Amino acid sequence: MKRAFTIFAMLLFASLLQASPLWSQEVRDPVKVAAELDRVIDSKLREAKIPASSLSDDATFLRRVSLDLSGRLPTPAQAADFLDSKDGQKRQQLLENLLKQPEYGKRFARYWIELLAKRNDMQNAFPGFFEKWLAEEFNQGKGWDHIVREMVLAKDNTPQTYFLMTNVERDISPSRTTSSVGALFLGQQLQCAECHRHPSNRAWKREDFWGLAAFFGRTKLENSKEKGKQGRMIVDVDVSPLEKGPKVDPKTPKDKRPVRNLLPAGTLEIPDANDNAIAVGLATAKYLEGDKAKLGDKGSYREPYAAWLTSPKNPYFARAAVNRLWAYFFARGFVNPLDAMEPDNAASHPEAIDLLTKEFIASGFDYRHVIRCICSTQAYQRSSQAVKGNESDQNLFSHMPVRVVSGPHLLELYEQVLGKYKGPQEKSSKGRKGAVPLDKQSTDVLVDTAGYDERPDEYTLGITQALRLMNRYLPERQQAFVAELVKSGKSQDEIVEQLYLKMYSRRPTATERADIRAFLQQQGEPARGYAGLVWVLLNSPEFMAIP
Amino acid sequence: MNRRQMLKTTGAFLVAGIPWFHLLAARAGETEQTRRRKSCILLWMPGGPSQAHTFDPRPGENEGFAPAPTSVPGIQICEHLPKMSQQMRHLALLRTMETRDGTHDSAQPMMLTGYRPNAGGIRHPTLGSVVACEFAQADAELPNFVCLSQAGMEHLTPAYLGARHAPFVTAPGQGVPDVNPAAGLTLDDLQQRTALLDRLSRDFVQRYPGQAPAAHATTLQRAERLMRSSRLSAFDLTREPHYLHSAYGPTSFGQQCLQARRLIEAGVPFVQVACAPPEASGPGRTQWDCHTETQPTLRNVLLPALDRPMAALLEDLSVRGLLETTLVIWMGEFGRSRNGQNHNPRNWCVAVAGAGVRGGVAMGGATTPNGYRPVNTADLYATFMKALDIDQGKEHVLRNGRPINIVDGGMRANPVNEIF
Repeated sequence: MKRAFTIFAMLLFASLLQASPLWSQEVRDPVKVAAELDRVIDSKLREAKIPASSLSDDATFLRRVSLDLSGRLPTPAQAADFLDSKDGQKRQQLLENLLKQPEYGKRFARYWIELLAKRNDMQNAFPGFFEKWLAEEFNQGKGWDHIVREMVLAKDNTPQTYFLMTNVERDISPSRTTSSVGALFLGQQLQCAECHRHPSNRAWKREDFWGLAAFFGRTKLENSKEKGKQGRMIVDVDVSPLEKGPKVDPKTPKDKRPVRNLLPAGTLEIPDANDNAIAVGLATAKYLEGDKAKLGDKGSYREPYAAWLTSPKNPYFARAAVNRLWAYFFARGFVNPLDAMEPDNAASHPEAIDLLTKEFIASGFDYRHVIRCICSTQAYQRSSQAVKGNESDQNLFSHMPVRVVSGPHLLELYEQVLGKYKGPQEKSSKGRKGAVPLDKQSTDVLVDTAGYDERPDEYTLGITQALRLMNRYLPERQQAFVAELVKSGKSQDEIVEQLYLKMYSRRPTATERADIRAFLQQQGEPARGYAGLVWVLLNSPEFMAIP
Repeated sequence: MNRRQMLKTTGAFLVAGIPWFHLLAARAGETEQTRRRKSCILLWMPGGPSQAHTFDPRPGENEGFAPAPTSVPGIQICEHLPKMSQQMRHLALLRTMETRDGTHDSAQPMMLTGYRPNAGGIRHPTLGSVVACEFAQADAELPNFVCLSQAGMEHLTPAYLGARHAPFVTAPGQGVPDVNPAAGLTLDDLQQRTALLDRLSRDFVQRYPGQAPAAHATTLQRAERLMRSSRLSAFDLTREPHYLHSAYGPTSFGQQCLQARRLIEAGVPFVQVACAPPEASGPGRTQWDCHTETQPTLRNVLLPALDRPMAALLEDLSVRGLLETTLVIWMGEFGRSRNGQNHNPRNWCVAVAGAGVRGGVAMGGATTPNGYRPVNTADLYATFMKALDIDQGKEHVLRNGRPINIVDGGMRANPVNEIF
């Protein structure tokens, strides 16, 4: 009953928020918002006396926006159409088309999985179902607040439990979950306050960190009791955790050990930073910079937490999401690092991040709306070629950065070009969890990069990965594709143009055609020549870079 | 100026060491003059070996596993390690390990990184990646971190140090993975291809002067250079004489140890090997984790598998003068109860040798009258860093400006100074 009332109260609260004039501004035309963003960016550039680069050419824009919004390379036909079209609105139309396709949701689902997978070091969960679920949420236009609530409140073994499962140690770890929520959804390194006062935000103490963690004190992982259902499920229990109690010699027999009590409702012990087995204080569930939560003996603690987390009134939630989205496209946010949006770390363009945050909230936390605003800016459409005077600019957005396709995304792109690999299957793993076959591991090495919010404009591969790509991965996977090419009966010029359109979304220059002609002649047999050419084009920096 | 602006990356490499002339003479043509810095071999014992049946036995405790005298008076190790007992002069035994974690899944990453998993909300790099990053040379042809066994692989992440410090995983005698051109191609074919690649991408690399395009081009060049390098012979075990093959023995661990020595000699800074004989596994036991058939498995499988190769490795390194600069670590994720059956992270034993470690010492333990303070994970890592001449107080600054100590607790960790 009490629980039903809580939910009712929250719904009421939520509907009041919706109706409040503060948050119910109209969603504006993205092109107009983009123009405002450009004004902010351009005036900063003028102040700094830094010139802006010109807009990128159509081919570069096409490849950039397609990879960003769908994760896919345009087909040669799509590329040719776009390049040849004289329509003045073609960039805007392309943007709209890309946002309508199901690949849009899939791309952003994969972006989030890359972030979460890095935190899944105990390998408690696999993201397959989660990807499908998240892609569908994005495609249906569900608000980011709704999506995050679903993740934080996930129960049983639904796909959205993936987020919480990446925060499992032996059970759902309240402290780990709090750190992840902080870094990914609030743009804050809350975990600094796990062991000591936060170094950049002195107001945040250990009580604040553990006060947030206390909301997860009753969320547990249990083995499924239902018949026919297997595996572990996330549940909320009505029992508080046991206190740590005094330290006991492990040799003490079980019946001689002191009795440990249950903690009071809505609390969690603060462990000693150097010894998890000792408690140094008791934290009560409390919203960050807010009040203590009124929690009862029964019912989920996560629901009021999720409502606070995703509320338009939370000063961090929408802002962090917008900053992260901007960084997705520009390789840096208005505030950097993305998880350090602290008082002493000012935004490079305060008006711009404020404006986008307002738009995001007004649109009901709609990813697509913010993406439209960002991709319609001149800033996003600029070339990444520097001009005299802006070569060294890295934070005023005078030119686009050259980004690198992430490891997992690169493997996707190879598959798009070459088709699904039908070669011998890699051996299945044997023995203990994590005993992955050699083959899979080396691919993983390509995938598992810095593991910590690396910048998308940074190249992180080493010789191991290069050797694998050059000598094994590509030669194996390109065979069928090259055979088709040879069989196609098309002229050499035609084939070369199709390859360029397919991989780089552009046509080859005259010099390139000449170089390739000479190479093919030198190689003799067409099969041999094209195998070499395809290998060269796929290994080139141009393939893995997004200028 | 705020805290963030004040943080600076301390990126200086510590390249210390002594010249290496006597080896150059022996292997002319295979090596070039190089300054000798420290290197490290980790002998990983997955599952948690029993200290009572290896390096810390007690008289009368486990029948058939009596303490036996070693070449160092006063120090006794298990009677089933006869060859190792002759190498005691090189070995320092840390018998008071106290690491608090007795669960494989979390103790393994802890012992392989020096941090409790996810401490401070991040993943931590494994020891091999830390050492590789410290000693990495931009122009090195050979990899900086080679792992010769699959055991423990899932924990060998370079984490925030980046993929270029990830381990090269291979098996003894198998060479560098993917180092040969694909089937049907020769090095010359490859050269024709890379020449075209160079021509076609030159314009792109010049037009976009960011870090990434150039870095990719350089990485490809370095990969191709490695394919042609004479140093690849460091992976070729057939070049080792017969007598050494028999000294190390034909087992997987023996071959790994021999391969490790060959790589260290060729200048690879960190090699990880594992002793995990498949015959040791059965119902209720895997690798060193023998809950069942404990004593027969140790006596018949594990201890013989360990003894000969490890002794041969120490002897071989020592004869070549390489032990002076090479730290050899023998360790699992924890120890066991005194009967060997159950996990126990208290009073267990790690053995180290070389790189300035004074051999022939045992710190604490069942048969040493003078006790020793408990040594925790951070203290152990500080000891490794001391041996490798790496500053234990060094910090890495993460992308988000957060400084992370190379050793948990930085200067607060207490290395076992008495073994140096």
